[in-house]
Amino acid sequence: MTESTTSLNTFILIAPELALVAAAIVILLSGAFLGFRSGWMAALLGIAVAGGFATLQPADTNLSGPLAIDLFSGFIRWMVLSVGALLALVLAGQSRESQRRHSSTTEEGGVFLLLLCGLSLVGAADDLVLLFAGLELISIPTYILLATGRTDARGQEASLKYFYLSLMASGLFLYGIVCLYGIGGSTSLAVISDRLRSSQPAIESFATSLVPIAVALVIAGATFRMAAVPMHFYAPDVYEGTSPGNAALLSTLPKVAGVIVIARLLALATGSPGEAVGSAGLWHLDLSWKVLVIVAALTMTIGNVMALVQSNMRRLLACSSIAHAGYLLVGVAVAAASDGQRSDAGGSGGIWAGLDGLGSTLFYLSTYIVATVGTFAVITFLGHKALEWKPGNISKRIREEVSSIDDLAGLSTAHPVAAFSMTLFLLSLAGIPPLPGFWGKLMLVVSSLEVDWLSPMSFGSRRTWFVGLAVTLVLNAAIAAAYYLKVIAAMYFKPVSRGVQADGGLSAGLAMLLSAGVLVMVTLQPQGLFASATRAGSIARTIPGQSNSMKSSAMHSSSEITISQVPDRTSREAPVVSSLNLLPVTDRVSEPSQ
Amino acid sequence: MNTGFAITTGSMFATIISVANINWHGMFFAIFALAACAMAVAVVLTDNVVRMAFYLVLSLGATAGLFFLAGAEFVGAMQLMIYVGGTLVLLVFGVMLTAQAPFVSMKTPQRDWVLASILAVCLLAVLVQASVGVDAWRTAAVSVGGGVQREAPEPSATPLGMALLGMRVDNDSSGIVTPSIRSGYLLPFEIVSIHLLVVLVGAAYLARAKRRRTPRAVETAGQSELKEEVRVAS
Repeated sequence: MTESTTSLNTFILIAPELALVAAAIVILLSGAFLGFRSGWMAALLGIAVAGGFATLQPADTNLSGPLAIDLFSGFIRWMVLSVGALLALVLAGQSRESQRRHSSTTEEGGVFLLLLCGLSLVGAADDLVLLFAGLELISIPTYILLATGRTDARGQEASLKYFYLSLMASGLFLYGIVCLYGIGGSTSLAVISDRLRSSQPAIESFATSLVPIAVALVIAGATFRMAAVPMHFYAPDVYEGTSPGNAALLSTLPKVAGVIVIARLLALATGSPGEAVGSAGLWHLDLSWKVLVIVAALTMTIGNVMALVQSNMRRLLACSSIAHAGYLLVGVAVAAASDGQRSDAGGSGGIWAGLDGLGSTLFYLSTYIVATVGTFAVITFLGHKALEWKPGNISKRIREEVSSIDDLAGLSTAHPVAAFSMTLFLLSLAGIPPLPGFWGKLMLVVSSLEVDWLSPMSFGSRRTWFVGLAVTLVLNAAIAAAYYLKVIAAMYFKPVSRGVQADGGLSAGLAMLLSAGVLVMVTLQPQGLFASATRAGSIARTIPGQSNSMKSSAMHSSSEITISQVPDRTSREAPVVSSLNLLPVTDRVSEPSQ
Repeated sequence: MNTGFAITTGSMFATIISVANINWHGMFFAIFALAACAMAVAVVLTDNVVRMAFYLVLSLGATAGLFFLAGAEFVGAMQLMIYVGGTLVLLVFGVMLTAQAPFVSMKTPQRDWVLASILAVCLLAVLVQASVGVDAWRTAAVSVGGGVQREAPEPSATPLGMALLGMRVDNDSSGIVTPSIRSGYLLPFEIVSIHLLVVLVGAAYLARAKRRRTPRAVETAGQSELKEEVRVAS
């Protein structure tokens, strides 16, 4: 089902996102006019309704207007909705205190739903304008949540810091997509992809000179959202300044957006297997994997080394989230390199049978998100009460959040369940065997080692780069284990120092238990997540709707199309839309998963 | 390539100098380009926030002039309306509202200068490489002696408006390729309206919270949470 214009079908396809928007508007209006106060519970209801609509969605590929609904966007949508539910629970727990002061959390709940809607739209975007609008729909609610989460001086500093840097990153990303628009002459990703892969000399030379800017700037914009190396420095300050719930939000949802953006960028240059790609497309992939390998290695190392010296819990988790951004980029870099390899190989694209880099990244992303949200849920759930001096000799107990690692000392005796859950999350983040984080890291390492598996290792070859990357990842996992174990040791082997109390409300505790449950479930049955992540990853390697040579090969009914014989897509008289209608779209979808 | 560029600029200056045949196009290009670059440098060099905003106005205005010279009236008008008109008014208001003593004059540390210049030089290198690397851009669309050679189509806002409603009526004028999959901007347009809703709600919420708790952000910045509690209680 393909339609080139926005139609009613487009709006049916994004029914879950529309449900989120509708729920947000209902929450905002009822908060303003009816005095409705339990915004987070209504937000959970909205997420549930959106989930209900999402189950009704067709599973095959649908193109409509600026949207591409396929397995990848479906995977992202389910990830967003489930993480959104967990985060809503955490944030509801955190805002209990501020609720008493402000007597209002409705706006936060509504704005949070719009954030989820933006992220889900980014996953489904097949158009640069929609992609950018979706990214901004993530950023703007984030500013508001950060600004309202904490109103003390440090919270304001954190939100301002994030605001300005995010604006700059958006600007960089916008410059990058302007170059992509220049290459494609259209905002549609499919058209840009067609021209980027074209082998017409005029287009090729034009695209080749614009590709470096586009790649550099789009990756720069994405690294801010992922908190990866050139743009990582804000993370510790912002995470420390804001509330734990907001830190959980910042360390998960923008990372998903960053991974999607880079995946879309790479998919622009990859065609179907066995298809000839022009030099501009190859140059695009070549440049991308080189940049991504360097960024990934630096991010992992810097994040972990910074984390080693932290004593503040939230700063430590911020540094760990930087390091995890590096791990995530490993899979993306592998995807770029393996796609380049596939295109290099020309007709024999079938030799690539190993793990898919993007699939590994998506799997790792899911496990990372669950463990991180769980960790922050524990921190929100815990807290100790301290005496506060008030004028008039009234002393009141106020709640202080867990800040340093020493605050957690002796948690195992005070709250065995919280301590056990925390241990589970941290061990999964560290990558200790039976837990999902280990399988994710293993997938990343194996996929990285499989790049150019058969070619000999020589200095500067692609295989050497990726073997080096895999070694860096393993070394970093070892470094990371040190600081995660430091926290666990504090919880289990140190005497109680300040007295940890659970005061974060029931919902944060519920989120903690749910995250732990999901983690255990994935530990016992990783196949389901593994399969869907791999399927989504393989789908995401091509832009839906791009014209490819499958039709021409079917017409010629011979596989002997050499690079010179491939008819040029862009100059063909038959319009692309009609070729898409001829294409058995569902077959194309199911093919990579075999 | 660089020689071609040099010849173009050289002959441009030569025609400017020759009094008999003044090349108005080249002259205005030189004026606007110089103004845009010089003001951009001034933004970087000055320490005062208000002056930065003013230099930015001049630089962006000169860029709009360059767009007009290139025959892109629509883009030029948009540049004037959005950047010079909208964004900068906001910027100036923001500067005026937040211009407390520590923020008016911004001294950049030496380390930041080095980092920023490395980044800027890298970006400039990539941009220059790209802008001279395209074959199609090497031949000047604007001849030195005459006027605009390539006739730009009459700009109008109709295609854009129709595209915002979900229909594409525009044709690709580049002539190389006709992209067949073109969708309108109805959905992004709707999303932008959601943006506005979020921004309005957020601004109202923040303003209300601030009025009740922290009268002036700058004032509170130096005070502790404890004092804030006291003020709320009293």
